[in-house]
Amino acid sequence: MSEPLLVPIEMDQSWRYAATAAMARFCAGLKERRLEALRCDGCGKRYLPPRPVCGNCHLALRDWVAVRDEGRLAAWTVVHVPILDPRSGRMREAPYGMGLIRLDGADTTLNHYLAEQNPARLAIGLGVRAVWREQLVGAIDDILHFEVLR
Amino acid sequence: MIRESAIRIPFRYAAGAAGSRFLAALRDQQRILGARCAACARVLVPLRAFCPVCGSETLDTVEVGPGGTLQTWTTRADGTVFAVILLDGASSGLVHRLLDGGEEACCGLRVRARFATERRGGILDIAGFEPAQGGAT
Repeated sequence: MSEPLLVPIEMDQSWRYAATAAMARFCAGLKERRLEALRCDGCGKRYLPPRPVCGNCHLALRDWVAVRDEGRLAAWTVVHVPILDPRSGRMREAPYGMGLIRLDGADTTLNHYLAEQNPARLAIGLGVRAVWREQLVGAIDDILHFEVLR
Repeated sequence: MIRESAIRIPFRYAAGAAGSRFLAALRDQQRILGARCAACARVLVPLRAFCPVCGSETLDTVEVGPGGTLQTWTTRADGTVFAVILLDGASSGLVHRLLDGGEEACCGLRVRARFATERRGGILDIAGFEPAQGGAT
């Protein structure tokens, strides 16, 4: 009788994602360190990430407004069981912080990584700022993570 | 704008009691094991815990190959050749790689398993099959 074997296997699942015109413009802005939200003419809600239609009024969104790369934590967690990073396709090293960030000038939240992973130093309402990577490519991971403002 | 990427999916396949014996024999002894069904006399490869044809759990472990006969094959866009090989002594074919790029592939071609130098207990402990020199082995 031999020992029960576990065969480690790695496979790649490839994907293609067609961005909307709004997301394409948003990503083009990232390449120039520019964050923009789409503002609804009806209710004034500013969407970031952008979406083509207002969820409240069902009006098409066309009005781009500037958003700062600083904001406040609307929610946060520290992840200990990592998932695949959708951009790299690889497992992110745990533990790491994740937050829903309401950027100054936006009414919705952006889901992103946090530089801070100590729960004792995280709190709702905490000010955070985007840390941009050196070589911008026009993708959401042009922002590496958000750091806590002290 | 179209984004393209791939996600890496790592997982571990539990080989089970019979599968583990089969893989351990590949890894440690470079032997290919099958199971002869005492009820219907079929030789099942890879080694099984029961006969999927007649349901019998009375099986004798036998060694098959490493020689075999090419039953069918196909070439993938990247040049990899997948083949079904009837190992000597087995009753049904094994799906594996053909290593010569399919140059000599024809139904009935005599082939032989080439074992990997580094073996970890997986089906790729057999690197693939190559045309056997000098006919039957």
